[in-house]
Amino acid sequence: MEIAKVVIIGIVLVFLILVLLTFVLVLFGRITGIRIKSSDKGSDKRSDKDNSLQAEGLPTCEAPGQTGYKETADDLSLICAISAAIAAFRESEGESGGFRVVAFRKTPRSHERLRTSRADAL
Amino acid sequence: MNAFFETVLSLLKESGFYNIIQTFLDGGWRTVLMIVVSLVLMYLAIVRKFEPLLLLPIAFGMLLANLPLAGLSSADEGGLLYYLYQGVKLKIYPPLIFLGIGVMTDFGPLIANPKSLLLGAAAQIGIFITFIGANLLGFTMAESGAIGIIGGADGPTAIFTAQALASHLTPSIAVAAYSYMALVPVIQPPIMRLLTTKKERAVRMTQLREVSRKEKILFPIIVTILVSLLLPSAATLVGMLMLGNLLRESGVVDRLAKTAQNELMNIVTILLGISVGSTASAENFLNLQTLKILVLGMFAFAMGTATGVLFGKLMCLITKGKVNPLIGAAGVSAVPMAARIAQKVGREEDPDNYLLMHAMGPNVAGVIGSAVASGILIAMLG
Repeated sequence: MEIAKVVIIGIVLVFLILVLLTFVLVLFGRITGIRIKSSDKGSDKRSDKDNSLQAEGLPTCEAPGQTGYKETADDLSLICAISAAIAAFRESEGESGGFRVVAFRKTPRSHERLRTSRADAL
Repeated sequence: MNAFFETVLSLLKESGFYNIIQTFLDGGWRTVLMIVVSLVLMYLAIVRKFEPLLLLPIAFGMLLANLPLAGLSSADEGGLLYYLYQGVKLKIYPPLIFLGIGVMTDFGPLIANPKSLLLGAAAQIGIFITFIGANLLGFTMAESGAIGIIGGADGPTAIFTAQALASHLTPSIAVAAYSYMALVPVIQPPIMRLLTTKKERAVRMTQLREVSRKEKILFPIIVTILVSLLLPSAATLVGMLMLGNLLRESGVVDRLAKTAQNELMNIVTILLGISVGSTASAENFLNLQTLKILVLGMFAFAMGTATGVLFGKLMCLITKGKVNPLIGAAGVSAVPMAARIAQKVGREEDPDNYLLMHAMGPNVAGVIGSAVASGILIAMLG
């Protein structure tokens, strides 16, 4: 009888504690997921604002909504910044002043490209 | 000239060889047999590479403890190994090993898929089944609990629990636990194949989500608070494991993390191994109990694997084929060997199936699960 008590209580307790941990982790994952989403929204606004400020004296960069592609705020900011830097550099070098970024889109990664080209070949 | 011979003779009489010959029929053969056992274990560690990091110091400690008149067993008060053994007796070394394991463990796969904690829990059922088996074979409740924990496939946990519940069985339990951990690639695959269908073994699992640094930092803190408040007897092992993990994930104490997983871990491994070995004197080790423990240890491993796989099958059924049951076998700790076995057996059916990261979740859950099971056994039987 004593053995049965130890076994049943033992198994139930192990499961109970680990189920509780599972529940906490799931909850925790959801909370951080929500936080990440909301912070993404915040950074979207901030990057749009920053871009509009930078655009005054520099070549323009088309807004994400206009491209028709879903990009993350970080990627867009980076692309805008690099493009603007290249344009500014070329202007300072006396090269064409007509350089202007009007649109950009994400190209597929190399392995995706490879898969696409294979599919095309087939 | 006579004085010279007398001196040589008295020196010979004081030698271990003389002692063995003189007492051979009166139990001295047991000492010789123990020396042979220690040499076999050294062979397994060096040539067969069976958990050499711990088996080698254990085997050498066993050799030292059985050298007649050397006074190097853990029971010989005043000898070096007596003092080193205090780290085992006072349960200091296993938690320090857990600290190092914590630094080396990435809980990311577990945080990404929290359900794998359930597989880690299911694999601990083997501990309790073995507990029943040990009791039926005539062991006391406390001894049965110490033997059952071998099914957790976690050396430091096994030593910690054995020391708390049945310290006289520590050497046999330690040798069984480490030997079977090394035999995981032999013990697990047949059970995994037996309990699953080809279709189940070929199940592909979806890629795990990325885990943020914030989650990885909060995880050890939450687990420590939760487990320690629910089960204070598990706080030592779980606390040290999670401290080690926090050192790793916080990213601000690289020096401490490196020390814990390298220098400290290595030093404690040597001390733990040699101390456990030094308890394996002929009287303690050469008896029917040890044989029973070795058989029960194998049974415990097999049961842990089986219950993990069966729970994996249940999860596969509930999720409509989204969980590969093979990852359940990784719930028996033995990090990362058990996860690698799940990957290997899975790839036998589908060479492009990568289960390793999925199996790492139950694998590290098994470490937490066995520490929790140990805490429960100590609380109920200690």
